[in-house]
Amino acid sequence: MTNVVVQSRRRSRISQGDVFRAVECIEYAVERRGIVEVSKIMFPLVVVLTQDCDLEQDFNGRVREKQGNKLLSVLVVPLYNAEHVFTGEHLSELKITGTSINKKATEGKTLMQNERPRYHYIDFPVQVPVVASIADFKHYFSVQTAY
Amino acid sequence: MPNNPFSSDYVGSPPTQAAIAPPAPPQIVETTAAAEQAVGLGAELGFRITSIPIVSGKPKRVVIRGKVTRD
Repeated sequence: MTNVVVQSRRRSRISQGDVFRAVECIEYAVERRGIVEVSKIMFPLVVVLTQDCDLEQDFNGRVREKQGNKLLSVLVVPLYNAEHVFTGEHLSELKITGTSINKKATEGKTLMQNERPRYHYIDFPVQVPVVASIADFKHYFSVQTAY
Repeated sequence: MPNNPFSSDYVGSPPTQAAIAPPAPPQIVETTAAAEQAVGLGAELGFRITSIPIVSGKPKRVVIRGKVTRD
């Protein structure tokens, strides 16, 4: 059952709660003997956590060319396929094995009821083409506003 | 947290439909009696049994290398 409200209108600025697809997180960038190597993780979905008032002030500052409230980056948290999280395989492509969570046991039920602060379970409305997802607040990174 | 963007009474700035567009060729499965029996399997594979495109996927690491040139 859905537990989130989604609006489809396009806004001119980034807002808290916005979901973006295909967002990169740079792990490292090094240069060795004239060869530069960049490692990055491509996250299929992330949700913006930065305070909306800060995002609004950042946007207004850019419009009015005032830089006092300009943000350097936006805090985001990945959204993982809930079923992958339950099986502990959501980071398998990164060679990381998670702990499985039995969704029929208390640990899984409390997660899906959003009673575990580490996680947030999101069941999108049927018109939104995204499977049930989980944010793990141990995983977060920032994205340059220019990105 | 007040005004939680994930809560049903959120009044701030919820996700936009445009920002949730599917990144990959979509899985499209029609809702039929047979398909409904596969709901559990579909969920395991990362998609929901409906008639609309579904997003799934895991984070992937990409390493790129290139030659450095200096002026």
